[in-house]
Amino acid sequence: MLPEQERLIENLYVKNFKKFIRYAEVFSGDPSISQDIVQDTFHEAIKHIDILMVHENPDGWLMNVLKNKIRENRRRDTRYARHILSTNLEALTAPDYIDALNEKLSRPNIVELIEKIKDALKPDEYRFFSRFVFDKASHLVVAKEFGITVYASQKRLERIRKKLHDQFPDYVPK
Amino acid sequence: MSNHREDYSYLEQFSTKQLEGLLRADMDAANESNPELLLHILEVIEEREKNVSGALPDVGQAWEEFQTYYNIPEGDGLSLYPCGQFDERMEQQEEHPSKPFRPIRLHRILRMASMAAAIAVLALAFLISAQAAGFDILSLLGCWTSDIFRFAPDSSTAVQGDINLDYYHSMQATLDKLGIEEELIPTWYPEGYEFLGLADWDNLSTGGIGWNFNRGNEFFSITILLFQSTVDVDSYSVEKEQVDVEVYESNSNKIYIFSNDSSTTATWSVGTMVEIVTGDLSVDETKAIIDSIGG
Repeated sequence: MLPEQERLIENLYVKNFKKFIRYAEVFSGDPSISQDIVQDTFHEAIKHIDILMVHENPDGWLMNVLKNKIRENRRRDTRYARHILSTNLEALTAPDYIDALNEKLSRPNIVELIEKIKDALKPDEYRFFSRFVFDKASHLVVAKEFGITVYASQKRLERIRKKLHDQFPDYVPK
Repeated sequence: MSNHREDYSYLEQFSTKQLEGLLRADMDAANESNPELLLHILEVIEEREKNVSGALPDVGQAWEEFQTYYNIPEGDGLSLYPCGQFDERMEQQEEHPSKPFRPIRLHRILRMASMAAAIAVLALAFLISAQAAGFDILSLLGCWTSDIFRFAPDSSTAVQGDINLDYYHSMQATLDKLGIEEELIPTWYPEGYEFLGLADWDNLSTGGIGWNFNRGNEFFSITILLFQSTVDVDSYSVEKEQVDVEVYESNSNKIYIFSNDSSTTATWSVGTMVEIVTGDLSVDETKAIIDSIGG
C-alpha cells in the first residue's frame, strides 16, 4: 500500500475499532469471535483501499461491511446448529448456546451423529472442527493453538466442512 | 460526538440495553439502514463505557495483532467471513465509488419508532410519576402548552380515505393472537396510504408490535408497546426538553400529541400498553385516526 493508504487504514482503525467490537459483541457475545470478524472487516478495507480512498463516507462503508459479515456468520452458525443439533440457536448468546448445546449433545441421536463425524475425520481434523462448531472458537484462537495462520485455519475448516457435507449432506450443510 | 447533518441527540434518551435492541432490530430488518445511525448508536455506547475498565479492548494491542495475524501476504484477496451480498454490493460500489449507501425508509422508520418509543416512555413516565407524587397532571403539563384540551376536530377538515378491511383484519388478528382484547386498531387512515404490514419490535427491551403505512415518500406507523408491568421510571433518565405537547381526549383516553413542521406523534396508555401513532401526518389527520378506533 502507499503511505497515504496505510495512514487512512490506521486512522479508520483507531477511530472505529472499539465501536465495531462493541457492535459485534451484541450479536456474538464472544469477544474472540467479535475480534475475528472486526479484524477481517479492516482486512476487507485493505482489499478495497482504492474505493475507500475516494469514498465520501469510509466509516459508513466499514460499518456496512461489518454488519454484512456478522449477518452472514450468524446465518452460517444457525444453519449448522439447525442441521447438526436440530435446534434453532440463532438468538442465543454464548453462555446460553453452551447450555443448549450440552443438553442437545446428550441425546442419543445426536451422540450417534457425532460418533459418525468422528469416524469420518482424522483425530486432529475432528479436534479442529469441534473447536469451531461446539466451542465457537475464533480463527485467531484456533490458529494460535494449531500454529497456523488465520487463513490456513479458514481453508482447513472449509475443507473439513466439504468433506463432512459430501458424506452427510442431510446433517452437515456446506 | 461526530458532527453530521442529521441530529442524533435523541439517541441519548435510550438506555444502553435499548440501544442494543435497536441494533438487533436493524440487523433483523429486511431492508438496509443508514450506517450513520448505527455509528451514532455505537458512539453513545462507547462514550458511556469509556471509563468502565475492561469494557473495551486495547486498540494498540489489537492493531499489532491485526498486522501480525490478519494483514499478511497469505491473506491477500481472502476473507475469513465472506458475505455474498456484500460482494454484489461492492461490485456496484466499484462502478460508482463516490456514491455512499443511501439511507432508505428503514432508517426513518427506526428513527421515528425510536422517537415514538422514547416519547411514549416520557409520557408514561410523567403519568406515573405525577400520580405517585399526587401532582395534578394538568399542572405538570402546563409548562408545555397553553392549549390543554382540544376536542375532536370538525370532520369536514379531515381527509377522507378508504377503509381497507384487509389491513384491519390483519392488525386485529395479530392482537387476537397476543390475547389483547382492547380496541386499539383505527378504522380510518388518510387517503393514498398503503398498508405495508407488520414490523416486529420485539427486540426492543420493552417489547412491542408495529405496522407501517406508506404514501410515496411519506409514511406513518402505528406501534403498540407491551410492558410487563408499570414502567420503572428510574431507568429512564430523560432530560426534559421544551417541546410543545397537546393533550387531546378521545374514547376516554388522554392522548399526548407532539408535532413539528413535518411530522406528528401521538401517544397514550391503555393499561400496561402504550400506543403510538407517528409519521408524516397533520395533527388533524392524527386525531382522525385515533378517533376512528373502535368505530
